[in-house]
Amino acid sequence: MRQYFAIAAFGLLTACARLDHVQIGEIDQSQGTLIPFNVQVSQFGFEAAAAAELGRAVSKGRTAEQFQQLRDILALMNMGPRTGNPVYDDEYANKVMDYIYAECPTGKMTGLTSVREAKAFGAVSGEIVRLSGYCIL
Amino acid sequence: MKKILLLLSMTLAGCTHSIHMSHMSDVSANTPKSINLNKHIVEVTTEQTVVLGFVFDIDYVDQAYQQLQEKCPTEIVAVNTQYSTSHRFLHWTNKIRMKAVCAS
Repeated sequence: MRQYFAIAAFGLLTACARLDHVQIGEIDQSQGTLIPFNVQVSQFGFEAAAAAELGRAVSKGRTAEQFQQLRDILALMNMGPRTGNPVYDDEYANKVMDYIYAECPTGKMTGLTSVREAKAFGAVSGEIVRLSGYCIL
Repeated sequence: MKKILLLLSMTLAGCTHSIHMSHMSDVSANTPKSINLNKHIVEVTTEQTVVLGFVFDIDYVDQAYQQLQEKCPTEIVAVNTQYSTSHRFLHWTNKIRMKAVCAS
């Protein structure tokens, strides 16, 4: 029991923000009043193989072996490059353009900043795509 | 126990994805207002399959770029580019999705 409590405490204390990518575009401050906007979409990220590895690390004997088998199967079935933890829906960022146009109906924007980041808690995370900028009025 | 293990792995392994980057380009003054946006949006997606690290298509990004130009021969603004990967058994698929506003 103490072991699980220690793992839970460790997981909570090591939760942190992670930045993967940031890029900023042109900034034009000469066209009118600038109103800042921010659009963010996120999805639940879960690295199942890492969770199985955690299970293997805290268990012993036959259970540890089974966790190891599970980890290996998961690693083979989910092969490929990763940015953060995998998600189960890759369409969560498809509507960011619609959202920024909803924030800025004039369609005149500047200083667009694209950010790919996450709030990570070990094997689970909130995978975030964020766009911020200024709407020109 | 082995059945549970197999079931658990199949449930957890179902089609995971990873979005590496989602970038929005600059927006020019010719961009239509949001009220007219839907009829101006163009979208293309191209893919690259990789089997155990062996790559079969290396110009999928160029293909997306060309397809976008074909769909909108005039001015393309507000290009939202997304680079992602879909994970599979012993292989994976890299994807480029470009969504933009055709300003004509």
